[in-house]
Amino acid sequence: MDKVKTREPIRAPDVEGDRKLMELVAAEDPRAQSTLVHRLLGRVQRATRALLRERADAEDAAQVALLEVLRSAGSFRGEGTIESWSDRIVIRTALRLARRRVTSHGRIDDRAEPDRIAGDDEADASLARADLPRDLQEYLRALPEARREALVLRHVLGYSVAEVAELTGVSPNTVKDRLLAAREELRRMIRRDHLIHPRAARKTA
Amino acid sequence: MNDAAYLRWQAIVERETLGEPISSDEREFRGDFEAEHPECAAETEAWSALLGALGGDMPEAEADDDLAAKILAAARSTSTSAGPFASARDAATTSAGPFASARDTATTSADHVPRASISSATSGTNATSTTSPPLASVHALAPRRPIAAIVGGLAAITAAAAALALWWSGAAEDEGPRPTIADADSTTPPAAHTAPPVKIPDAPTPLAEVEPVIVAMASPGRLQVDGVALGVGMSLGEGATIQADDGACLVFRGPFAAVCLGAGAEARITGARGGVREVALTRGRLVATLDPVGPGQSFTVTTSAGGARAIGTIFAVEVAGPTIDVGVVEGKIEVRKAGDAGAHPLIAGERTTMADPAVTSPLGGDLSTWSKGQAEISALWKGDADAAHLSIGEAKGLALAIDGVALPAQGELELLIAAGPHALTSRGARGEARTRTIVGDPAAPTRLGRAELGARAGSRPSAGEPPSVGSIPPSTPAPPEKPSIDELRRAAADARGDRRWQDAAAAYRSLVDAYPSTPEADNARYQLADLLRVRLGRPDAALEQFDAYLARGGPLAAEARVGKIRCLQALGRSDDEAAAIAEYLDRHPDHIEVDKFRKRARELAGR
Repeated sequence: MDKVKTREPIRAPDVEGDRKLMELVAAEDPRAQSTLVHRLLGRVQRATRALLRERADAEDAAQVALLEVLRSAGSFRGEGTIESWSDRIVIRTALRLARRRVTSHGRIDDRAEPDRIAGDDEADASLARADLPRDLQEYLRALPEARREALVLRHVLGYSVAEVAELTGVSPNTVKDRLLAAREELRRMIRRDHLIHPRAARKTA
Repeated sequence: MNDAAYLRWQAIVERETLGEPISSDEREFRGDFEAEHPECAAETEAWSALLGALGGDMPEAEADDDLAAKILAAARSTSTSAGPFASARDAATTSAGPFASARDTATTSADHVPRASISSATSGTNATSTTSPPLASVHALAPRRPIAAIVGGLAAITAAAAALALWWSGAAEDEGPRPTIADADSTTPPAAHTAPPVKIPDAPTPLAEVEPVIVAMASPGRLQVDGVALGVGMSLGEGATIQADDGACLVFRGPFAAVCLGAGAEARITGARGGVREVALTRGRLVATLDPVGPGQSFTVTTSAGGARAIGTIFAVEVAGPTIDVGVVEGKIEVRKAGDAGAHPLIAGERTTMADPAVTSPLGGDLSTWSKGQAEISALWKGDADAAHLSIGEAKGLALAIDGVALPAQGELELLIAAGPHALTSRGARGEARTRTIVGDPAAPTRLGRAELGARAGSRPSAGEPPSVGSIPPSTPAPPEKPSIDELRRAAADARGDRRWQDAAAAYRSLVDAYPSTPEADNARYQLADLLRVRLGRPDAALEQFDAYLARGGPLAAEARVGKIRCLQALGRSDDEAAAIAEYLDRHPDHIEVDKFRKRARELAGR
């Protein structure tokens, strides 16, 4: 729990400046578009990489999401920061693509590789790079997408339970259930599979 | 440690899971508690590792200039008559980025080609390889796969190849309207610059249920399948006729079943799909060792005079000329004489003949001994560890055993074993024994010649033996003091790792006895029950432990109820089984196996 990452600090709001910037973006001003894309891209990539298992999918999602942000600039009302306004577009876009990818891969795996869950070698490599024990990698691969989303949004991107509920279109209690279910499943796996035994740890390292 | 402390720890953990803050006192309590309870500590560590991994591949804060330039170029290039961001909508619709690249092409193709051919794309190949998926999968299967995965993978290959063939054969003929990605997912028409939608052919006939059967043990050149010598690790399918000059074993998966043929036996696999397995025995004898099968699944051995159908059991059939014997070592089967409408139950310890299945007698003699020995050997292939190939040279005058399981004395022998260390014991004619550790390596066969097998007096090896062939550590010695929870858990895990099931069970019992009210003891009860049921074939004893676990409750309650059901099924207590299923369905309506047990409940109700 000590390693939980929080959302990066949001810059001090410049309400008027932001509103002006978005007006220019909505008018397809190239410099304004460039300013906005450069301002948001790192944040958008962070979110999409957390939500999508494959890096290439995350890049796709970042592109799609930022194009959507540019397209929607005219709807910005200046009632918060550009970041918080765009976050919702980005997260929803990423979630939509993530769910579509999972559906697609799930269909593939059902037919062709029954012992694989996501079928994504790139995601496997990413987990291996993270030095995650093999058993936990398998847990993460098998983690239902809704629970994974809840975990990422709450513990990686730092949204509150209420915000996660709003972003994912479910009730706060459902979000809590998903988080607790993810933890419960981990507990079952550890107790069922002897995960803590040193030999198991070495085997999975 | 007591239940209240555990509940407090659990409450703290739940709040952390929800992202709620905890006080310093609570943090301190949690640390102290976990110092005494390794399972709880492991859970916390694993949770932190998971969250770290979920956020571990984050980009640096600075944006990628190339990517930004691409996005801006796309935004500008689409600011035309179609509206400035048509491509964004299209891209979202097709789930591919708007910037065509080799990777995008591969992904898009992979998303849209027929299901059977997609396996190659998921294996990391490029778009061109989607035309030859079975080969890609074959290579991916090669040695480093669990036994289960080998079988599952082969099933996938079979299914993929068959489905692909069907698709190819059907694609040219059927050019009728088919859904497209755009049709399926969006009302937005694709923009002119996007790739045309790829048609999705109708789903091919699902042949994925066809199961391969793997040769798990045989003597080199002594197992003929349709006239061709087949070696260990190779697969055969439905319709294959097998002639075993020496003893040989075959393995099915999902659910597990092993069929060991006696020397001189001849059989044909007449069914191997969808969990419905059927072996026609025409000569000699076989023993089938099965995990309980699910609803709609069965395992049947047929002969010229009738058949024997099992539901989770160990049984043997012997065809010796006109006499056909059937014996049950464990569980229960149904014996049906050819031409008879009714089936005759046969339970553990009984034998009968196909000529008159209503008449039973105690199982004993050679068939009983042989069946039990083969059933023990079959346990070698139950796990899901990586499969390794072991080749044993002729060991005349030596009785060999792996992990305490006696191997048949039949000259050279090849078999699959789980990767990792195993205890190989060779015993000479005068009883002198030598036990060594051999290491199953999934990457290369392990070959043992006479030199490695030679028996000497005493079981302790001399100093200076090669590292891959060393001594078996003695059984866990009795410690002078009460061992800790962690020590007992390690002892159990060590024993499990070495497949010393009895030792593992003993360690779990010790843990339960010494620390009865700890969460580790609760978990040990479940593990003990599982061992008793699956590894030691003692459903009655397992049932007691499952009940004990359920009486206290715990995170594996659903699994424990499933185990209890299987025990009752193995014991033939149908009424109790039905009640246990009803309780399971009531308490765990979202558990993964509810569909299976709903069907089973209907079956039981229909009896």
